[in-house]
Amino acid sequence: MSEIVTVFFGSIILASMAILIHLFSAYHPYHNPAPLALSSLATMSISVLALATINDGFSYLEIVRGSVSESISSLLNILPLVYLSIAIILFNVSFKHRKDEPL
Amino acid sequence: MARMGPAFDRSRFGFLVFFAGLLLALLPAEGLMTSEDAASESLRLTLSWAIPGAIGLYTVASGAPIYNESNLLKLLIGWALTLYSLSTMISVWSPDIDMIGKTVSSGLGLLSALIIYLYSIRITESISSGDSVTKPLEGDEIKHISDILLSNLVDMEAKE
Repeated sequence: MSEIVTVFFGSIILASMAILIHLFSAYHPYHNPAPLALSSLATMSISVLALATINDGFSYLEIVRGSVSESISSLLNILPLVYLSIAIILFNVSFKHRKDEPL
Repeated sequence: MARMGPAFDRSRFGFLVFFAGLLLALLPAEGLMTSEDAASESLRLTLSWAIPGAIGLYTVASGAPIYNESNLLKLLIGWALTLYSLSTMISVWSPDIDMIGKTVSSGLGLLSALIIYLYSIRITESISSGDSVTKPLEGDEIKHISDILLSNLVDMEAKE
């Protein structure tokens, strides 16, 4: 149960980090990313605090590193299913021929 | 991926970030935690089938029929790569009950973060004051636009 909760909050931290990196990389003068960056930082901080209450005796950095790496391992397990579904769609596309429809 | 950055200055960061990530995945640093080692190993295993798989699927997509004309060579190469990656994937992938629980949990975590982000966008949009009424054009702006319209109209008349 503890592992499942760790992975859940780890994924939230990972997604928040990805959003922050995206906001930083995609910055342009016509966009104010401050509110979104603050909300992502708040989400990440709440998740780290939640994990800190579950895992006593670990520093915040250790908690972030451990939970994010656990969540990356778990997310990589979904990739084969995603890959299979894309392959099935492309299989249908590559062998399907439309009927000639006279105008 | 390569469309990160300002709209007028794209394709500058995307591939750099991608290759930096790939390099870190293939050459992990020393002193990693156990879970980080496991994630790094699992990433390397995934890349072993995902890279040929992605190239294969891209080749298949580019060789797929468009207006009933397909590129057979591309389809053959693409499907050969895809089948190779599928066989590698099956030999590497070992799902179990514990993994399913963690995978669902991580998916829910990602979804939660995404929902929070979308709500933040909605709230930010709702509290931001709308644009004020646009000012009328100034004299030189009116002249500039009139010149463009006039030259286009003259070109159109000349073609007719």
